[in-house]
Amino acid sequence: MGLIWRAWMRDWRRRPLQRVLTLLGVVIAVAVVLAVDLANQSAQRAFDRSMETVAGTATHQVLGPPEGFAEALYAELRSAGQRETAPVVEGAARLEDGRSIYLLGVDPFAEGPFRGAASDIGAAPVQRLLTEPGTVLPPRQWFAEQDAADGDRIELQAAGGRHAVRVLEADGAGEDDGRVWVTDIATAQVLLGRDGRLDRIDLRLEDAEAQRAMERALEQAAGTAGVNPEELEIVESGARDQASRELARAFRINLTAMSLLALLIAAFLVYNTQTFAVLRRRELLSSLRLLGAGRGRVVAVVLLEAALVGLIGTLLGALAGIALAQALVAQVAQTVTDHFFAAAVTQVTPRPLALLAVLPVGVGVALLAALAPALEAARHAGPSGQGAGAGEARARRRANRLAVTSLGLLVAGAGVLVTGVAGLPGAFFGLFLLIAGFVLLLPRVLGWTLRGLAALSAGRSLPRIGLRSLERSLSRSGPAASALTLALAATIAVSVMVGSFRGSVEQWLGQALTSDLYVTPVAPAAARDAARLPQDWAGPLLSESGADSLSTGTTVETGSDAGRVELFVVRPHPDWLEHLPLLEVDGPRDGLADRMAAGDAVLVTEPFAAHHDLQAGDDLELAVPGGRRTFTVAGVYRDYATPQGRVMIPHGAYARDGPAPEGVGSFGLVLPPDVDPEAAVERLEAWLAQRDPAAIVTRPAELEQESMAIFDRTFAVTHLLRIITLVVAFIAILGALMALQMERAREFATLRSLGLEPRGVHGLVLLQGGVLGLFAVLAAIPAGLGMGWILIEVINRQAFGWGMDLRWPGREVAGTVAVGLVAALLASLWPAWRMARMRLLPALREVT
Amino acid sequence: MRGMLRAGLLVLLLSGAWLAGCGGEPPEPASDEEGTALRVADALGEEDLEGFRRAEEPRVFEFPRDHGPHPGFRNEWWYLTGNLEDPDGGRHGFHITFFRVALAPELEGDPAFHGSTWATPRLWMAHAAILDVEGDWHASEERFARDAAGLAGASEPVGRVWLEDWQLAGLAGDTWDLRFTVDGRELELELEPERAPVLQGEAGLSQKGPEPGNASYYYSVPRIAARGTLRGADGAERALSGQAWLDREWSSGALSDGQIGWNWFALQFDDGTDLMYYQLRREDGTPHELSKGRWMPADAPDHELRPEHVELEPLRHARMPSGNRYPVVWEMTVTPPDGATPRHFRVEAVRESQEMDTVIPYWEGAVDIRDEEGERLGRGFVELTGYEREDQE
Repeated sequence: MGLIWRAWMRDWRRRPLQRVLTLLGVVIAVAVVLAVDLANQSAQRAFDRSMETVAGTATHQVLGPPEGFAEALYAELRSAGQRETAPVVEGAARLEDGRSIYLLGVDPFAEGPFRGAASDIGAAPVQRLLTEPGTVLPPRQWFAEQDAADGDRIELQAAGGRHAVRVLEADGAGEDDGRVWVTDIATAQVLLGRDGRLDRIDLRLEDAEAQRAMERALEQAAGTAGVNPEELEIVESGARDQASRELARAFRINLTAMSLLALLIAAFLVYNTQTFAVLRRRELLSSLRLLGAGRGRVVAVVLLEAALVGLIGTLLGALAGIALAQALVAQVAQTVTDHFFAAAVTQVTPRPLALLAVLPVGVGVALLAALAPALEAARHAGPSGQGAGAGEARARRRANRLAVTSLGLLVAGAGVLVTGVAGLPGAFFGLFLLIAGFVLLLPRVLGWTLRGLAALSAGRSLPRIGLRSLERSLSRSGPAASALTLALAATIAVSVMVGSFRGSVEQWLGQALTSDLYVTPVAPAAARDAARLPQDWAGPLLSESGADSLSTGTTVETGSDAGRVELFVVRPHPDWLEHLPLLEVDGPRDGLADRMAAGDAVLVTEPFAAHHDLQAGDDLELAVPGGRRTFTVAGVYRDYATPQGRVMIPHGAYARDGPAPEGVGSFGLVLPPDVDPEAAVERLEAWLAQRDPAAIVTRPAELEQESMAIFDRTFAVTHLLRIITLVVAFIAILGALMALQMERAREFATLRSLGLEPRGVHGLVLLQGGVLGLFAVLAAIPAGLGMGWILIEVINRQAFGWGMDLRWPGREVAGTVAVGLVAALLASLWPAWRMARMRLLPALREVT
Repeated sequence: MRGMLRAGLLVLLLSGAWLAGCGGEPPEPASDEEGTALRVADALGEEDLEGFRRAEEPRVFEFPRDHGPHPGFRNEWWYLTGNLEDPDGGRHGFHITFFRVALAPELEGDPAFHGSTWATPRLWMAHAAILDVEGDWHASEERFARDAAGLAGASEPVGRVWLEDWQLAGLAGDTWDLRFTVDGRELELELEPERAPVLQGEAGLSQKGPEPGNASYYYSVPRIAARGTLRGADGAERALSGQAWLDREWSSGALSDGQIGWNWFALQFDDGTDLMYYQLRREDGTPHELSKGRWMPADAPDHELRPEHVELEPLRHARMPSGNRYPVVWEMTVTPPDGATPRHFRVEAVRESQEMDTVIPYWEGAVDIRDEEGERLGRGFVELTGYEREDQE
């Protein structure tokens, strides 16, 4: 064993670059897998912790209408002896640096059973929350990050406007990290514009009996407090976050799938290198065999080497992964915060388990990838000492067998995708089966292609030689081309998906933003839904701006037979239905306006329909002022505003049986052609400057810009992963070409001695690289478009319920093609240079 | 006095020295007596009293107005205890205290934030207990709430003092209504004062130390007829009647050094005489010279009691389920300063286990007054504090 091992490992000294490249591939792949896992886990924990911090140990919550309910309800419940109750006023706020935080306003005296953050009345900061309203408890970590001190004043912008608050550094109070800022309920009411109102009351109900008692007490308390009991409901904690949780999970699964792709490409790399190593040391293997080395030992040596590469690569990859995770986690967290709020994470703590888990992954992949080469080595070590030609013949036979296998995989993958079993993970599994099938098919197709090309180039000897050489070494050129194809296909697929998504969102924004000007409250994006403007601004806004139509839109959260849902209460422009991107309508489209006006029909967004399994014509019971009513879903329209989806309801229908909440979320103004928008903005701004609450005039372009910025942030991680995948693929093709050229050294030497100039060798090698690159690119285009289509139609619908128009991103595809070709040519340069400069005699002496 | 000490304990509690979390962990026993005593004194002494009203000179008391709140003082409390009997002669007792404490004289900081109805620098703490001797149970509870949003308060003009569903109402009239729930049992009592309020200290100004302002306003209503019902957890009702006692005190004062706790006695003799005495204990166990009381005969002027008028000796101790050990039988000799015949009697807990299950535990219980032959002379209530440490060591 020792002898074999030493002889085998000598190759490391001889060809260090190739080995280092393999190692690098494993390092990068493992780093990506680990980084994505760590970032996901950290984001997940932060998400859970934020949810826990906010919900505490409450089993249930009393929720009311979107604008909250009268605070007297709480005192009435307490006076009725319901003591496992805690009032909460909560909402988003923005710091001066633009970061969003979550304000949690609590009564420290009620907190004991629910949350730890502000329950210790003995703590001086908690007492100060009471004696000095306008104080808040930021997470302790924030102080370290900001280099802030206890008692500093900072500005907060929230639904209640802009306020200067004093930050208290709490020992044993407040949160450690995250974005939940705890404050007293009195302060929260002012900051969030919730004067006299509560957002929820947390409850602890041990059993059904306690729940019934609470329901009775609540009804009675509502009567005394002057709250319509129909507007109140007791919901289980967590039911409210369910949608957010599932979406965040879908987002993480997407990332994990991307990271596994990088691993797959690394596996190709290991396979490639080991195959090459085996082929190149045929003679050594034969000699060893003659010396009495058993096949088992040869297999063991090849596998041991792969295991070592896997181990070292994994260890280095783990280190790189932890560093990479730090970069990723901010992105992941920002995305989760953009879309689902309340999640915050700033730091990655490597979990020993994740580190341990990645070890078998890295080593396992390396071993698996080396298995086939190891078996081949054992065959080479046979007494007959067959030559490379026989090996290649076997490789071609294997390619045939693999082709059959790949067809099976393709069918299985399609089956999984079509039947839709196992949800989102199942869809990804199906996609991976398809990819695997496709990739296994590639060497076969490459073989045909090369033979075809060689036949075409009959007469021109040099290209023909190059092509034949590639074909004969299919066992190396095949995997290299596969790796590059896979990487390019993934890049194209992601481009298709992101491009289609982006295009659809842009188009939707153009349709949805039908007004020329919008007047919205000054509040952070995440809190804008909760902020309100006075209804009676409508008249002055119309006259000040000179607009000829005014619309309002208000987002409210309410109960329904499908759980808590978001309602979008609108007073639309007259021609609104013409602009609405309706996907599905119940009955004739012409009668829709009348049905909506009649007050018993609503429209739902595409994700809403997907999440709640609704179709046009179905019924939906909604809690609206005056009680619960059943509405018909008159249609489904495209909307990317919220991944959870929402229900659009005309204001008239919403407020038919009871007074609607005061205030509106935003005003939209349509200007006649003769009114200059710039001048209208100036007039409105002058008028708004003298009004309270603070409001701003926005033009659709600015809203679009902000929306697209959030969109691009969401997919920034995807782009990063795509680039990393390409790097691994580049390494793969570089390694493969080097292997190829080194092995063909004798051929080149022969050609040289027959009079081929070094320039000719140069050209030959570049030709081979170019052919491989071109093949990969041509194969990647249909594969990438197909994968993109699956991502859009299956994965995205599964994950988010969003549909989108398929767009062929010509520019991105062209760019990817260029990248693929350049990568292949670049990867050929070094071997070409080597080949052109090699010394002829040693190469010629090599025995075939 | 005891209220002030209790308020001192509350301040101590609020200072976080003992409290890990409200309603959470029981306090850690202090490691040494002196330390605790210093902390009590510190807690009461070092607080910034700037901005609070002080009890500096005698004032004119007016009832029922003074049953109501006195804003501007840091602490104020309403302290009701009573002995009750059911028609079968079964013994019951109750105890309820409402403490109002101002963490600051006024709201501080940016006035823009003072608009919420929840904004207040004051909080309320209340303790309550119900005792059923024959039923063999004693239940107690502690609550906190802010002096806002209708959760707790004392109405002005006088009428109602409440913390959530615990309330003492009708203070402006001749009969008061007390209602509270402990551990699922609800006690509802109609209280009718049978004796005019008795001013403690000098005309109601109770000096706590040599410096001016280190004093409180303090009065008692020592004899109050109580009638009502106790509703058990199962809904069964029992009629109860007996005698209650109200103590009222408000101040912004400080406490002198060197005290570790107190033994407080509110005794109602069957002959109509009432007696209040609190003995402050020094670290060495000896009575502090600031110990005081009042001798209140049925039909003669009342007189202040000083340590030289009272001999007090614990005869027997009992260990509570919590592990704390308290004296439960006392021998007491009172030599009235008005020349009346000295009285020698025993004070015996009607049930040993009457410790309050509060953040800072103490013993507050119904007692009988008996002569040496065991004949009953009257009833009363006793409060014992500062025992949890020394006896656990």
